[in-house]
Amino acid sequence: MRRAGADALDAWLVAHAAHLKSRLAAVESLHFGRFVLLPSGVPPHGDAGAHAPALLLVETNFDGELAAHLDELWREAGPELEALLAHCAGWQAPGDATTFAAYMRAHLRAASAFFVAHPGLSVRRVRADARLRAEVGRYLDAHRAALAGRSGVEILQHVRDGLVAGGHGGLLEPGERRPTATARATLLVLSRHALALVSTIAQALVFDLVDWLRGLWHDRRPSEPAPAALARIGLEEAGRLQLGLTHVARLKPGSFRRAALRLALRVTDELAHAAPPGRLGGIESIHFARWVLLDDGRLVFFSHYDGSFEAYLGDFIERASRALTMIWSNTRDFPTTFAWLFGGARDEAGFKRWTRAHQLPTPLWYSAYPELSVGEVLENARLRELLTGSLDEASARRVLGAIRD
Amino acid sequence: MLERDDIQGLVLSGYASTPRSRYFFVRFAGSGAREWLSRLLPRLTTATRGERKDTRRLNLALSATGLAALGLPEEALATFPREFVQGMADDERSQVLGDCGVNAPAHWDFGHDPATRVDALLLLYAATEAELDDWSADIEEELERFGLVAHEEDTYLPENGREHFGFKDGITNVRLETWPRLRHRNRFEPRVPAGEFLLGHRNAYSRFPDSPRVPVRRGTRSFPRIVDGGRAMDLGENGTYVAVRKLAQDVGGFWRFASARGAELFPDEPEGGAERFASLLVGRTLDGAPLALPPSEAGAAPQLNRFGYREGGELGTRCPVGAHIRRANPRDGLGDDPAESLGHVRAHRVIRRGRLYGPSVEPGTAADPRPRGLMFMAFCANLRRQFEFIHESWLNGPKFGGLTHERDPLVGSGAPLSSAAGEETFSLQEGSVRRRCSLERFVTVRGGAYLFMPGRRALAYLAEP
Repeated sequence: MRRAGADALDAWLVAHAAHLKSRLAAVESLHFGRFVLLPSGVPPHGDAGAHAPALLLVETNFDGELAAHLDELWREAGPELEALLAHCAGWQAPGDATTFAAYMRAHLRAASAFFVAHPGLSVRRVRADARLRAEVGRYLDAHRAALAGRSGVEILQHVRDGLVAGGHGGLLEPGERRPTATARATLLVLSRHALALVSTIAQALVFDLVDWLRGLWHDRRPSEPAPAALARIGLEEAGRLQLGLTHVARLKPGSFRRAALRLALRVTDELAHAAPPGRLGGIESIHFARWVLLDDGRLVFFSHYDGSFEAYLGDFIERASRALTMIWSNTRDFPTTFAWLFGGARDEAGFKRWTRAHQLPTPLWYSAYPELSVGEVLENARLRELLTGSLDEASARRVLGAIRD
Repeated sequence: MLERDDIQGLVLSGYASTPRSRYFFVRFAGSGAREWLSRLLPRLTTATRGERKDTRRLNLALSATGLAALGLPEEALATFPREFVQGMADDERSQVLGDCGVNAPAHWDFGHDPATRVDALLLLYAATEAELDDWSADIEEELERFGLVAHEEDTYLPENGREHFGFKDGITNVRLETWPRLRHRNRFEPRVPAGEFLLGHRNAYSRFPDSPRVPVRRGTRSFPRIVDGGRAMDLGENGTYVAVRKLAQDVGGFWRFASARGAELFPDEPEGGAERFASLLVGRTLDGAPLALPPSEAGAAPQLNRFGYREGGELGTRCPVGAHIRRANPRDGLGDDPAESLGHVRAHRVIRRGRLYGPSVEPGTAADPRPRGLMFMAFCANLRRQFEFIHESWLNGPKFGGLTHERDPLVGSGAPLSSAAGEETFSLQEGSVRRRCSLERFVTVRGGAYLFMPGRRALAYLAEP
């Protein structure tokens, strides 16, 4: 969204973040959301990209249909959204639900690659499952002696009866069917794109070599995060169990890089859909992640994850460096890469610095369940599914064993 | 090969033969800091084998404020990592380390305000108390002469190897993987590359750690290596970062609490269950036997460090998931794959050089209010990825190992979690239903600092006018 006065918009977001968040809390279809100002050009190397306009980026991860979600957003936070969009080009004040939906749809950018850790679980369901887990915990605390020595099935039967008797039967709805995926799907994706991947790697051998030589020639300095931005991001991240990474990188020039990026994103997207629930490239801490390639060549990465930046990037490097290098090696200033997949994100310190240098402050970040990890969301759902379905001893033992505190 | 004559001795040795020590947390009040440093240099103990046999040892580390006071230019300071420049008492660092409430820097004895600023940490070691007193008289006189102010802390290695709560400590410490590469003797404790602790060497990612750069200077002494095509000197080579933390321990309170909980949980234990409960918090018995091993295997000394957290391929629960030693070093116990876990853990280790302060006390004796605790000290090449990560993700991570709202039962700290409903708990994963009990705190942070312990050539550079 084009703007008139980027700084004013950023200031508005900072000033009204708490209020807007309290309005978003009423939006039942919203899992995670963020409102971010993408400055014109790309900091801190804004030279050639200076023509790219400043944009307001609004990301929402929601349940159900877009129309209903936009409707609900406007219903719960209309005045706030109105005040915010007043900073944006093309917004006709005063707006209503219809003009808001039309405006948002007109500026919609679909993700080129998207991942969700817990598909099929609505916000309402995730929250109810967390309440269920807490009630089960309380029941186990109170009836520990009576349950000692019983089989897993018997224990869960007691829990089920106890919850119903205690008036918590409403938490025991069976819920929607959740999609499943298998490891074979991963191989399928790779084999489907085998030819394109091999040919891109072969070409990248040359292109990466050229970039490397050019780097030597120009004595390229690695990206350094700006201290002021880091301080602001540090404050935003302080004391939270979940964080949102907002990241923007600029595509390298040339048609090869654009094509390679598109292929990398398509493969990543298909791999993400084929991944077992809660595991993006073996990383178990990501709730949602998406890459969006803007028309002006800026590649935006949004993710919502558990833990800390340091742990998250550590997982990236240890478990997903190939896939990430395949994507980001096509953007500028990325650590030196060989043959599209090698090097790059394996440069631990350089990759962390590069990521921080291209991270944007996120003045407004929202989570519908800020204290739940991916593992908990999935484990709570399994507990409910078991309590509402037929019990078998092995599953009962597994689910009880997963209740560790 | 390590350049032992450049590396400070404490990095490679715990100095077991010099159990008495005195730490001087020095503030560079006057302008004599550089000359003071220059005179100290000849007495610096390096890792050279013969030198380490001396009964007097001296090591030195500098904080970011100390480096600035020594005249290091702004551009050079900017090449140090952000967390080091901010210092341990910085708000952002406190968030990462969980230093809030009673542990907040505002309550510290040193390191938190201008009056107790730590510019340098001078470490003296001697075999006997008398020798130490004798030597520190000279040191104090020198400090005074150069107009420097010091906060002193007496520390020691206990003869019986037990920390104040009574547990055998210092059983596990990192072993370096130096050339020629030796075979792994203990698969649960893989050797760690030198670059995890010494700048200028390859780290766990097979890279050279970021190393601070200073302007090139010629002098009479032997100076750091010239790098970057002659544009700078590598001040970091053979140096390491130091995290010091003064952790006060309420020994009486701890054992009263352990007795109360022990009696509740284990009414059949002959001694009332205090020891059993305390062992569960730690993950080892008082004698150091790891709970992760079945009692029949755990007794023998070589087994004290030869264990993992899997039982028959599955994650085991003989040792509670949240026990202190399991959080501080999860070994093979993270995620589904033990080998992957060991590899991951390898990139998050520190060399520990903690010593006790305050008189020891027998458990169960009458209340003795004298302050006591652990002067924790850790060395690493990357404070953020090693020292801070261990605190943030493991010790204080509420989601550690499939838990949801607990923190380390001994040193855990942080803002209250709403999911914990205002109460801290500790869980035992025994039998088919886990058992929760409420938790109280007996360890408090009383001071701390981030420092850099340079190699000898780097110190010579810093001491030159």
